[in-house]
Amino acid sequence: MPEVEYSTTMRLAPESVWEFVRDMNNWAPFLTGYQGHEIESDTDSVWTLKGDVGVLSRTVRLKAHVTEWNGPERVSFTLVGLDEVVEGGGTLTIGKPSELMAPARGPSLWRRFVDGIFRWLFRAMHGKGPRRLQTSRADAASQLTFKLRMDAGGPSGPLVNAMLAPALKPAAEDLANKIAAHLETLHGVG
Amino acid sequence: MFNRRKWDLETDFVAVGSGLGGLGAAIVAHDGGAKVLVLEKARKLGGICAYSGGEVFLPGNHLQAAAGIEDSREKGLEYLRFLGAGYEDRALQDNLVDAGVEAVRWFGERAGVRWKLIKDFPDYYYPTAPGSAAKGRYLEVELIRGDTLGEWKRKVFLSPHVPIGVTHDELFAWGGFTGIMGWDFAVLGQRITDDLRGFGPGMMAYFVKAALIDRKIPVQLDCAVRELIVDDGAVIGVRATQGGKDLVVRAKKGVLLATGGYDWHASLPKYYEQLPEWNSMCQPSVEGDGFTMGAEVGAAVAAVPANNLGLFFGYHIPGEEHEGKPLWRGSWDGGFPHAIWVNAAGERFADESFYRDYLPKVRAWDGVKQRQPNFPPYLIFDSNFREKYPLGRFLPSQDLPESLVQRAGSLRELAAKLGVDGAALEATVARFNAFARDGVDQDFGRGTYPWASMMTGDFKKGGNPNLGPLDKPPFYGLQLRVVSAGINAAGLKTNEHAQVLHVRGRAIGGLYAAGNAAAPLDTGAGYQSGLSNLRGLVGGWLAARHAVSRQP
Ligand SMILES: Cc1cc2nc3c(=O)[nH]c(=O)nc-3n(C[C@H](O)[C@H](O)[C@H](O)COP(=O)(O)OP(=O)(O)OC[C@H]3O[C@@H](n4cnc5c(N)ncnc54)[C@H](O)[C@@H]3O)c2cc1C
Repeated sequence: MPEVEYSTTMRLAPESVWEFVRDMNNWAPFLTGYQGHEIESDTDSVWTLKGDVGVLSRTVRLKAHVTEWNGPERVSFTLVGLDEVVEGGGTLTIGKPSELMAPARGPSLWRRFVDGIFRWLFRAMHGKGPRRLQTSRADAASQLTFKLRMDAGGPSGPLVNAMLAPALKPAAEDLANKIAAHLETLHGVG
Repeated sequence: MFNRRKWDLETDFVAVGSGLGGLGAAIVAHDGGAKVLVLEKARKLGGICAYSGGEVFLPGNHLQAAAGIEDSREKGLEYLRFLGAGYEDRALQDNLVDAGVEAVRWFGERAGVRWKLIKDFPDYYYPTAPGSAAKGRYLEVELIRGDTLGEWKRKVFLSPHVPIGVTHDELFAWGGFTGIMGWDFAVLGQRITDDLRGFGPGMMAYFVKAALIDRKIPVQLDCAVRELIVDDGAVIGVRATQGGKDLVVRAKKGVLLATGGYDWHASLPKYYEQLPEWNSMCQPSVEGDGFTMGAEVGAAVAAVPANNLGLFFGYHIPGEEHEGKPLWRGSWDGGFPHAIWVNAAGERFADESFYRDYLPKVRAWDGVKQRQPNFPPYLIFDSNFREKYPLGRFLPSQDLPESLVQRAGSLRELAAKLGVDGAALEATVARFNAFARDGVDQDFGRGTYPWASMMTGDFKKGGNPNLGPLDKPPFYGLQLRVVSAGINAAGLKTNEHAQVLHVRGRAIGGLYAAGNAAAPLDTGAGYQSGLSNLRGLVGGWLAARHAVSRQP
């Protein structure tokens, strides 16, 4: 069963990260190949993703169900294919970075500029400014780890899994990195 | 005269396109001492050849003798003449066998292409056609590791249409296409993890390795050739565009158009293929550019009757794409037991297992009603089929998407959903079921061609491998569409050196065409799988050999 794990670090307190990550609606659009998602309840949603399966790209619908909500440390969820015989799940874990980070600096001029542009764009698109999350301390740091596994069922499972495997690692990296970049921009750090 | 200061690059030989025609020619021209450049419009190498089954059909090939299989040039040509049916150019057809045998052996010995025979695979028309053979004429490649391509390994197309890490022999031993439930998916999965390539993707991996890795032939991707540059009636270079910029390349000895056919051209299929629609399994970069550029410099265009080339029926599963376009899948399922094809009148019209029979019939014209009554065809199957066989990528256990397949408790109900005559469909199925019981299709002889049975039959069930009744509800049906494999009826007219001919009859200096860019006058009015790849290989071989000895 293909399973991958990817970690990234941010100059933000775990609480700031949690505040964002706890709500799937915040980061679902950062999933690779995101086409849309529908919320069914507090714990359930359906994601529509367009992804590469081997050589072709296919639109798949996955039902996501939150199984663990353990703030400010972890969200776990399961995934079940609605049109394909595939199931899986994932965990987003927030913790202290395992390695020492470079000493934190205040936001650079360039970063403040980018941040300003981002806020302006956000306002232009949504008619309001991005929600200010809990301001981070200058020396704060978190590690965000995304674990993802997918398992194709049925007789052809081993074949489909072999085709899925190469796509999982970039998907996990993509999600973790996009969340990190988004939050750092939002908080003007990085 | 073209301003000579404007060349961005200067070389001897430019291959336009990176299928067998383009890459094969590049390798041969390089070994003949020429400086070579390959320009490819797509973002990856390999062309339709890399999407293909990788079969190369060659009577009298060097591996037959080694395997103790008797064949001869004469017998092979007798069969090719049968296929050509008088529409072939005999000198060009002879080339397929003569130059084909030489070229295939050369690529094996000098370019490291590890050919093998596909075991016990009969010619399409065996045993009825003169010169046809029971086995030994189809070549494919041994599996090759993607790693041998180094940094190019992700820049060569894999195929959405064929199984990749496997040989024909293995697939047939596992039960063939109807026997998908018997395939060794664990082995297939491991082969994909190990990046082992066979079929068309494997074949093109060998050619990419020989050209780019072993010979370091330069290649430009995402580089579409737009125009031929002519001086004094001869082609001396090309103008291409890459990333919005012009690239003007001088070709001192020649330019080869190996650009494939015109599947994705907006109107050429309609003009030349005699069907009201055209969808393609091929990459969208195959848009008839060779056709346009050739015509622009006065090339003659020739066509053979479109009736019986390599074309299929199939469907598009909503949500599936390749290269940013809808993916069209071929459907062979009509020849499986427990399935038939009918027209809107609810009648069968051909042997569903043998596409040589149904292609001309689907084009048949009713001159009184002014329409093609067998187009579009509908695939009808029952629950026996669903329990045993796949429908394309959907295995028996998997649900079929409602957006693709209609389902009903009775044939009449199904017919109403599809817009097919219900009473006629019931009568057709009753008649077919009687044939299935007796094991003989009295109307169209389904199951009599060994090749067709290998591709679509079920040998495990006993009796006629292609017959089984449709008697278990619910019933299923879908309207099929035209799905082309890129083998077109028209192309640039070429001579025995693969030189493109001018409308006035002379060869256009410095201009060559290979594969589907060239008119299929070598095959004529018929087709046999493996001939299209052979045409690319032979055209490229001839062009390169002629060009390197040419004095500019
Ligand atoms: C699913 C499938 C299975 C098949 N199986 C078989 C088989 O087993 N045996 C067989 O013989 N045939 C088979 N065919 C058909 C066969 O593979 C093709 O007809 C054959 O590959 C054509 O080869 P070609 O050399 O003409 O060029 P192609 O392989 O079509 O290559 C043409 C290349 O030219 C490039 N190009 C186009 N325009 C430009 C431009 N302006 N500038 C630069 N580059 C350009 C294209 O991007 C493409 O890469 C199959 C086809 C399909 C779709």
